[in-house]
Amino acid sequence: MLEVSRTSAAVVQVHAEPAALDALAPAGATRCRIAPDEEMFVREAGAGEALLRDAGAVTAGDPDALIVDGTDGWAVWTLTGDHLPEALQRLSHLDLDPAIDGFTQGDVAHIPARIVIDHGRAHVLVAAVWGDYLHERIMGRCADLGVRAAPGTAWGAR
Amino acid sequence: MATIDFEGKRVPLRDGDTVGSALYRAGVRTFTRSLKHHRRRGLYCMTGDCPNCLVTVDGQPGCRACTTPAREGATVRRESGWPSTERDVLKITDHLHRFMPVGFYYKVFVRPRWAWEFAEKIIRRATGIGALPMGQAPRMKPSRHVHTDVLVVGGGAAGLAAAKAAGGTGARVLLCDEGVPGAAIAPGAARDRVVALARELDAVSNVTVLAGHTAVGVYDGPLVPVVGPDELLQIDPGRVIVATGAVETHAVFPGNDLPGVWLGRGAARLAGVHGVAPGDRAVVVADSVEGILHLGTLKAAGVTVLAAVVPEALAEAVPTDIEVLRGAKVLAAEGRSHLTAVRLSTQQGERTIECDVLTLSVGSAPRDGLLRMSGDVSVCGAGEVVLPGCSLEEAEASGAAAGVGAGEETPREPDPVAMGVDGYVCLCADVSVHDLEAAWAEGWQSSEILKRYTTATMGPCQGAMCGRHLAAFAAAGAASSGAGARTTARPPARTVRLGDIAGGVNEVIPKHTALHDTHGAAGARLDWSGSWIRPYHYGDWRGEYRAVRERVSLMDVSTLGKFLIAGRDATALVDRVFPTRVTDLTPGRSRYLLALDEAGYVMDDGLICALPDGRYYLTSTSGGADRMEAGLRNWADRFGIRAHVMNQTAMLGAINVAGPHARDLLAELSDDDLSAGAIRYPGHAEVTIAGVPCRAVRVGFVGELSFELHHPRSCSVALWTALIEAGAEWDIRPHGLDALDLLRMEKGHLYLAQDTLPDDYPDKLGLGWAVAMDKGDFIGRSSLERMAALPSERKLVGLRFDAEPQRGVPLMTGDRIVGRVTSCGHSPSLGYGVGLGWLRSVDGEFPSALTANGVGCRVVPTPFYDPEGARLRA
Repeated sequence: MLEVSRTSAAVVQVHAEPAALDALAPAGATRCRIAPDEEMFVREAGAGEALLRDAGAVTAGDPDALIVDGTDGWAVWTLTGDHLPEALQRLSHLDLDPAIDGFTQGDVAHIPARIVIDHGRAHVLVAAVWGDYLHERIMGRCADLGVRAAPGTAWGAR
Repeated sequence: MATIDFEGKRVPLRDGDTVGSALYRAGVRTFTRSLKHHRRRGLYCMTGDCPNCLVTVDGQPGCRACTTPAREGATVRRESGWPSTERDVLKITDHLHRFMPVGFYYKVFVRPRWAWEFAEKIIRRATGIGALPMGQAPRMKPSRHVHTDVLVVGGGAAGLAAAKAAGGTGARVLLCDEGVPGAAIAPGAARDRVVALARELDAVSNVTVLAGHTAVGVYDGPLVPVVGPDELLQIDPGRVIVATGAVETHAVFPGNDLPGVWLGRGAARLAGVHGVAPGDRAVVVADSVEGILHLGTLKAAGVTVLAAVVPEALAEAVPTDIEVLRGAKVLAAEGRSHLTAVRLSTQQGERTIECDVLTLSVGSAPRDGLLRMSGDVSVCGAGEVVLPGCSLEEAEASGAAAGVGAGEETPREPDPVAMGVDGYVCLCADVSVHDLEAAWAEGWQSSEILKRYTTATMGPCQGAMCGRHLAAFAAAGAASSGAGARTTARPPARTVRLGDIAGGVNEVIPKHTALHDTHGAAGARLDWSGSWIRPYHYGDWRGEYRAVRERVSLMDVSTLGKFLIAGRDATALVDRVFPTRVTDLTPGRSRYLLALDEAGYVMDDGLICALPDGRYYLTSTSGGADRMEAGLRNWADRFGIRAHVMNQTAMLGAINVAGPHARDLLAELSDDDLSAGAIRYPGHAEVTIAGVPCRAVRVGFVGELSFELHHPRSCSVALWTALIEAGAEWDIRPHGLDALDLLRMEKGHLYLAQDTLPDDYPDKLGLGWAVAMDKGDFIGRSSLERMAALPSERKLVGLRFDAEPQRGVPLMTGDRIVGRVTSCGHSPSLGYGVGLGWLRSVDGEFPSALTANGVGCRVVPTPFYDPEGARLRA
C-alpha cells in the first residue's frame, strides 16, 4: 500500500546570519536548514502569520535578515504506506529511511526537492511550478506498488 | 514435456536448461554465422562471454543462448545467414578475403558518394546481427536507487567469501550475480563449496544476494547500475568488490572458430551441468588442474577422450586410459562445417587426430572490465579477476580479505598470450592474425588505433575474448610501451537492452505556471518554451495581436525569473554585478538591466526595481532564472558582500496587462492611483487589483501601455479571471507567444538566444546605452574596455523588407553572404515586413541594401513601431 496526498502547509523562508538562525525556535515548526545562512520553517496551513512573527525574532541577531512567506512557492506531497521504502528508492538517489525522522535535500524524480521524514511519512516539498509533475511521476513510477491518491492532508496531522 | 519453438520445430526442455543446452541436445551445432565471413559458429564459452551463440528469443535479438534460461513456449530464431543460418549462400564471403581486407569500410564505396549509402544497407543486412523488435510499445524498466555499504559483483567462491566477510563486520552487503551462485559450475569440489557458501549467506540478515542481476558498469561515485530481470538498480555502495572471475583464454590457431572447438569450462559446463555430451570423441588441451578435472566430466557425459595435451607436470594426473601428449601444440583445427580433426605438433612430429571435440584450458583471462572502468580507490578485485588461475582456496581467501577491506592492490598478470600463424583473434568482428598484421603494415601501430581500424574488441564481447591478444600483438611490435596497453574499458560490460538504459532516465521536466489549466480551458495551444509549458496562442494570434495594439490584452508572464535582494550591502551587490547604474535608483523607479559574464558577453536581461529599505526586486528572462540566482549568490560570496538573494520565481505569479485600455481595465478593479504620475514609466508601485496585492511594474516590451502585475501565485487564477471578466467591456483577450513575437519585434526588442549568440557584448546588440561605463567596476567591465578598442565587425540590425520576409535565411549583398535574418514578420500596424538580423561589415562598412532569399530589404533604425515610445509612456 502506498498513498500520496497533497499537504497544505505554511512555509516561511529566512536568510540570516548563522548564529541568528541558530537562536531561533519557532513554536511547532519543522526546521529545515538549507544552508548555514538559510532556513525554512514549515507549519500547518494558516500558521504563516504566526510563523512570520516567530521568525521575525531573527532580526535581534541580524538586522539584515530577510524573512519571506514562501508558502505559495511550494507544493508538498506526502507519501505513506508499507511500500514507502521501495517508493523512495525508485524516486530518489538519496538514502532515505522512513524509520529515521529528519530533513534532507536533493533530487526526487529528478526535481530539486526538500524532504522531511516524520513518523514514517515522507513529505516532499518541491517548487510549486513542479507540483503537478511530481505527482504525475510518483503515480507513474509507483503504479505497480498500488499507489493511490489520497485526500489532501494538513501538515502535522497524524 | 515442456518445449521451446526453434524455427518452427518443438525442442524439448529439461530442468535447468538454457536455450543453448536445449538446442545442442536437439542436435543444433551452428548457432550463428560470423559477422563478415559468414563462418559457422557454435557454442564455445557457455558463460556469456563470447559472441558465438547470439539468437533472437521471443523477439529480443542478441540473446546469448548459452546463458539465457529456456522458458516453456519461448520462440527462438537464429539471426544470421541468408536464406538460412544452416544454408547460407553468403558463406562465399569466406573465400573473398582479398576483396574484403581489414579496414575495408574505409577503403571501398568512398566514391561516388552515393555508393556508400547504397552499400551500407546491403552490408548491414548481410551481417545478420538480428532485427530490432519494431512496433512494440515503448517500455522503460522500473528503476530504483539502493544504498549499501559493500557491493560484491560475482557469486563465485571469491565473491561469496567477500560478502560473508563483509557481512561479518556488520556492514550492509549486496551481492549480485548474473546467474544463480554455483548453478553454472560443473559438479565437483568448486561447485560444492560455492553452494555451501551461498547457503551460509542465506542465514546472514545484513547480506542480500541478488541472483539474475548483472552489473554493467562502474561509474564515478562509485555508482554501479545493475540490471535485473524486472528492474534496474542504481547502487550507491561505500565499497565495490569485483569478483567476476575469469574466462579461459581464447587460443588462436587456424580453425579455432570451428563448431566443436570449446573452451574447457564451456564443454565441462554443457556436460556436467546440463548432461549433454559436446561430442563423441575429444582431444583435451589442459594447462591447469581444472583442465584435468574436465577429463572426468566429459567422460561421465559419455565422451571418449582420445588424447590429453598437457605439460609434463600434469602428465601423471591424466587417467591411464587416455593417451598423454606431453608438451604438444595445436597447429590447426580442421573441418568444413564442424571440427573433424585436430592437427598437432608433438615430440614425435606432426600428428592429426580425428575428433569432433577439442577443449582448450590454456590459461585465464580475467573478466576485469568492471575493475578497469573505475579508478576509484573504493573499488577492488577478489579471486580470479586479480589472481588469474588461482585455486579455489586462494580465491576464497582473496575474497575474505577483500570483504574486510584488505583486497588485492596489484592484480597478478595472467600468462602471456601466444598466437599461432593464423586464426581468428576477434570472434565478434572476424579479425584474424593476418588482418592485424595487414593493419600494422598500413601504419596502425598501437592497440587503440588497431582497435578502431580493425574493430577488434568492439563487438558484443567487448574484448573479453580478444582484448589481451590485441594488446599483446601491439606490444610485440610497438616501439613504445604505451602502444601495447589494453584498450579502455567502458560500460556496458555486458549486453543491455535499450529499455534497461532508459530505466531511471527522465525527459526534460516541465514547469507549469499557476494558470496552466486556465490556459488549457481557454483553448490555448500549450507547448514547450525553454523548460516551461506556455500558451503560443488561443486560436487566433492575429486577433490577439490586435487586442494588444488596439484595446487591451493579458499575458501570463509568471515564467519570468523573480528575485528579492536584501541586506545592508544589497545596493553594493547589484551595483558591483550589473553594468546598469543602480545607485541613483530611488524606490518606485525601475530600470532595464543587462547581466554580463566575465568576458563581457550578455548572459541575460531583465528589470531592476528599487524598493524601500535598500532592497531590490529583480526580474530576469524566463530561461535565465536559475543562472541569475546562481550568479548573484556566487558573486555575493566571492566579494564578501552582506546581501541575501531570494529566488521568488515559484512564489509569485505575473500577468502583463497591455494595451491602450490597460489602465482603464485596472481602474475598474482597483481603488489605487494608477495614473502616469503615480506609477511612472519605468517604475512600479504596490497596488491592490481585484483584492489581490500586486506589485504593478510599468514595462514596455510590447510597445503599449503595460502593467506587469506580480502577485502571490495562489491568487493567479482569481486575478486572471477578474481581469478577463472586467475586460469584456473592451473585448479583452489573452495573447500568447506567437503574438508576442511580432509585438516585441515591432519594437526592435531582441530575444536572447534567438537573436543573439553566446559571444555578444552589448554594443553588438545595440545595447551599449544600457551599460554605465562611467560608474565603478562591474562584472565584464574590463572585457568591454578591451573590446571597445576593436573594430566592430558584426552587429544586430533592424531590417525593413520589401515583401514577405523569411526567418533564418542569409542576408546577401550581391552574391556575398553578409549576415542572417534572426527574427522577422509582417507588421499589420506598419504594413510591411520587419525583422532583426546579423550583419557583417564589408571592407569596414556595414552594407545597408540587402536581399534575403530574393526579397529586398534595407537596414533601418529600431524601434519600427512608435519610435518615440509615446504609447508605452501613456
